[in-house]
Amino acid sequence: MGQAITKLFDSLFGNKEMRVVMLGLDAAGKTTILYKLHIGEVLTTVPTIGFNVEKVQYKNVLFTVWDVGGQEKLRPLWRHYFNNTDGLIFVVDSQDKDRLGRAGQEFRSIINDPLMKNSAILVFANKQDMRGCASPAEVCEALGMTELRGRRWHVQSAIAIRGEGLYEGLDWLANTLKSRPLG
Amino acid sequence: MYPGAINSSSSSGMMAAGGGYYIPPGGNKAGLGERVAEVTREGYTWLRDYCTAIKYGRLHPFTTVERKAREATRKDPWGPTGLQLAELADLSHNPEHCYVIFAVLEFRLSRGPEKWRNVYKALLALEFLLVRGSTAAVQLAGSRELQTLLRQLVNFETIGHRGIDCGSNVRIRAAAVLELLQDPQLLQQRRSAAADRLRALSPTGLQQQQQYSSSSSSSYAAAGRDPFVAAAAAPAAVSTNDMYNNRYNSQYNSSYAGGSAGSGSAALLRPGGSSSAAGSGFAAVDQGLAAGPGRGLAAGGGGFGEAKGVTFEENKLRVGELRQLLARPENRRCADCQDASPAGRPSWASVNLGVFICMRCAGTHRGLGAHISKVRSCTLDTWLPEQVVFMASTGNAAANAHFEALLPPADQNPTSSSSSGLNPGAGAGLNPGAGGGLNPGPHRRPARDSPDMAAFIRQKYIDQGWVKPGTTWPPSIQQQQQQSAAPVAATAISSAIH
Repeated sequence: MGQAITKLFDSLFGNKEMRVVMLGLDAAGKTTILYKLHIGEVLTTVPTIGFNVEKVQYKNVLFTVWDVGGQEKLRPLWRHYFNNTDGLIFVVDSQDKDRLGRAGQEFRSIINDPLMKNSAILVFANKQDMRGCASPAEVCEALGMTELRGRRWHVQSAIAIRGEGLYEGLDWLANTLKSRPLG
Repeated sequence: MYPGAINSSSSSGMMAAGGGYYIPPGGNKAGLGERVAEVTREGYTWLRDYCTAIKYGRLHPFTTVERKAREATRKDPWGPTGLQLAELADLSHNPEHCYVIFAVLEFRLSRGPEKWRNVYKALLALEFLLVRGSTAAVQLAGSRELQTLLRQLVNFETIGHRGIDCGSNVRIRAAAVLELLQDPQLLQQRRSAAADRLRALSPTGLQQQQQYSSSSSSSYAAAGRDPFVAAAAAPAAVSTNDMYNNRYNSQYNSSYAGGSAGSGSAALLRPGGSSSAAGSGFAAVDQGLAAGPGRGLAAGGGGFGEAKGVTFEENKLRVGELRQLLARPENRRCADCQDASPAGRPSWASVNLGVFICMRCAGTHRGLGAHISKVRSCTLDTWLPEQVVFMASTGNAAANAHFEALLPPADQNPTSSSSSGLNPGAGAGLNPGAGGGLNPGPHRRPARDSPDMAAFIRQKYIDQGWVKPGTTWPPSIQQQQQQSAAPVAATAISSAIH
């Protein structure tokens, strides 16, 4: 009886853990987002060679976020992080319009991987404060989101250095991952 | 709508047909257990708030507006979320609510070092109100008491658990807010930029807003939308308020006494007629940022897109050519920090500026934005032949001859102006979000590990402070053709042809 109550209590108030992998082209702002969420202010980062992993708490969800380097030669390694992943955060540099198409290619190759078929997809259209950046709708278009069928996705505009839009994205991710039993 | 705020998500992944994976946040399908947990959590925070109120000698619980302001600045390790901030900005259009919000914020800002997270979140809320709130909020924020408080916060010191310097968060944010308060031009710029963004995204934003408010916390949303509900609750609370700074009480009382009573006066006092978030309270001056000098650079050359369909063998050739370029004496040192140690060996390059840089400076270059500098790794990225040709035609010597033409040599004694420029707090590099380039940066090359390095790089490439007037970058076509006689470039071209 006591055990049952404890279990119930835990399921209601305990932290839920989610494993999330954060990908995107180089210089999209993945590391900045991770550390903005984890510690607060981010001054400068250096290019990530390898990965960073941190736990980020939002409400009663504990996200374990893997931030993997986005340089071209590191991209083939992304798939090693796909296993057992609840959510994908894909970060796009909205200002780098030259490479939006490239970002779309990489994005499609990620989400078509069999291991990622069940994950929720959150796209951060980052750097929205820059002049002449692509709007979230344009990012949507470039990634071909509208043709996605049977997936849970959300495009969120964000300004990582000021922390704007990041929690909105996490909010969606938390609600989406909670609303459907995983696996 | 404002990206950080409610909206911006252009669309959610609603299923077109079949499947039906998408469930609105907190919607009907959320289990009963979730609902119970939610209600219990809210009840608990209400109780805790009430306890706080009693602790400070108040017999009544906090009002809706107070609770919203407190909610945004609690010690939770997340937030304040854009939703909370946008709601506060909405509320700031009502003068009474604005006073209440600022009373709460100032209360939070005057907490001690052990409450650093409350202080930090209050600073974030304050900055947001400055940029997005009503003009009344800007006036309130400009008060001398608040500025004194902020000046103290610039020296905030606290070490969190595991030895993390949590004080730096507060210091940096306080400095940014203070800069905003002391520079009306910058503030106006940020405000109009925010208003523009708000306007540009409003159609989808409104839709999104509805979705959020209908699902997550309808009671909050209703109180936030309808000024009369909250206004009616406010008077009793604040007039007997001893927990906050007195000047808010007096100001509040006088403004409240001005109208007769109740909700009618609240409506009269509101600066904008509507309660919508659309920024009706402030004039949106459509000045925009002055066209930056960097724009010319971005238009300068083509082929900066990423390599597509470059085979392994082709790329191997490019990397070999790059290695030859890096072996040139002028390219053995980072173009920006000029560090000669092995850690400073350039292994990164900016393919539109034509400089080879070290990893740390590459990090700063990436922060400039892709319109200023497009950074590629010489080892981890694939390169296009024309990019290699361009790099061969420029290199660090040629680029610095252009970008640092007027920079005094390193061994020259600093003049009076340069010593003031080296003040660590003065540079825009302190905070990349502050809209860099508005402050004078250093006037000499700072040391490699100096915090001024970022400001130096900004001034060098964005403001182009040391470029000789009349010269352009990248070098003209003829010059490039002369340069391309160099053996490396020639092989690059020949391999591109085959």
